[in-house]
Amino acid sequence: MASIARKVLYSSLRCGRAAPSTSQIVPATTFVRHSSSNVPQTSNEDGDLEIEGGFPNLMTPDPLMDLHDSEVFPATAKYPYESKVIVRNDPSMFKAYQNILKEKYGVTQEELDKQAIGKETTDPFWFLPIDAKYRQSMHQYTMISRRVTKQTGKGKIHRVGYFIVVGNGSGLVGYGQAKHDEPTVALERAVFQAYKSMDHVERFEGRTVWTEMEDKMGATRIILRPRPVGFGLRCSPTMHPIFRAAGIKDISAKVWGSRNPMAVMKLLFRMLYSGNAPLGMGDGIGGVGKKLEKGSGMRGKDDIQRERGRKLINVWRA
Amino acid sequence: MVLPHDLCSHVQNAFRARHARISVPHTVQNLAILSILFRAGFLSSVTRGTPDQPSPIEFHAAAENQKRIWADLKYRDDRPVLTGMSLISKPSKPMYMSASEIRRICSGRRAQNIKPLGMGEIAVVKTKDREHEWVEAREAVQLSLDGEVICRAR
Repeated sequence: MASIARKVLYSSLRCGRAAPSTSQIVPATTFVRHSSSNVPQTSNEDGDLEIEGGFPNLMTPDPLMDLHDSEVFPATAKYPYESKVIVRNDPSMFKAYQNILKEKYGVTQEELDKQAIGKETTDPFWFLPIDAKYRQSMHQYTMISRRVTKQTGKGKIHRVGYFIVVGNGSGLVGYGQAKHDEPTVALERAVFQAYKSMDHVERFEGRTVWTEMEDKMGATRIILRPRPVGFGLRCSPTMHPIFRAAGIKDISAKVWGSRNPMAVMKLLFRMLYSGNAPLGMGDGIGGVGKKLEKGSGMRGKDDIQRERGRKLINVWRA
Repeated sequence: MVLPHDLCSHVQNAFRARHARISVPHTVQNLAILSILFRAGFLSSVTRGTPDQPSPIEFHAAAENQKRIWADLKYRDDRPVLTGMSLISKPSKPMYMSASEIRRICSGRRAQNIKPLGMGEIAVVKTKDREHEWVEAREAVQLSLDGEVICRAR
């Protein structure tokens, strides 16, 4: 399933070219990040969007972004057609771009971004297209805040770790983890990670899950059951804030086996999301599948109807 | 008589291995279960054939033990449409349900310690009715038929 949350959050990001100026270094391909308020956007008479610096020209191949490995396999006796395999973005074009910046221009992406923004900022949310007002309207729950210690030869090094859950109460939810010496920095980074990780949750009638679901991760096993209107969130205190943030109002949930909070939360997220696991859990290229992306997740009635080409009818209690 | 478990595991494994089609022995049981899967939308086609290929014409010329049923498997968005198919009625514990019990499992309540059918899940029922011998669980409810609940598929 496509991540609708990411499309919504990043719809105002523009991968355009920075305005060229003599004091700035502008490589041929520019991955420039803007926050929504900083992108100079205007509409011309026809109502078309115009952007300073112009939109990128897609008719000519870009040496960095359109570079790919391809191999042609000739026809054989068994398979009488010629076939071609094209591999894109392996190795990653972003890493290649960073190397070019370093070798040719001697700058890093961070410095370029700061030039584009035009000011020094310590706000960790400066390049996400959300402002403080939006963040205030969201559900944000501190699930775990704890002191973690590393024992070294020189003594104990203490850091603070946070596990934050963030959601808009109607279908978008995410979680973030961060550790730092200073609690404020750790909290900021965790909240930032949570916003970055937000994804869509399919809900039946906007209030509960679609079907009974059971899943296991390690020693933790969770069963979720859809329930009627007004039933409420009858689940463990670990799962309760996640359902509230996601906008699920009626559920019956049970944890079997290990009740370790971290494991329960991560498994619950894996069940709620619609599934991002690559084909056969990798490696068709791109690496082995990740445990936290496993499974097909929650799929709605529409998806099932579409894939089978049949309507699902209810058997009513007559 | 081959157990339905054979077909259940064959279909499930073929979907997980991403096969395009499967061929099973031509029996009434296999034909019935595959037709129900086809009607429910798990398979794109069910055809008679020989061990070499699906061909209704060559089927007639083949010997009894050379007859096969071919089923084309369905995939969408790189995912198999059928994720699991398992037995309900086992030789160690046969499962016979009345029409009201079948209606219970279709509407999200358990009957005789059988988990209810989830969203999009189907169950195959074998009845003693002469015209509708092999039906899907919801069809059995509509026709008010009792029977042996053979397997479930989702």
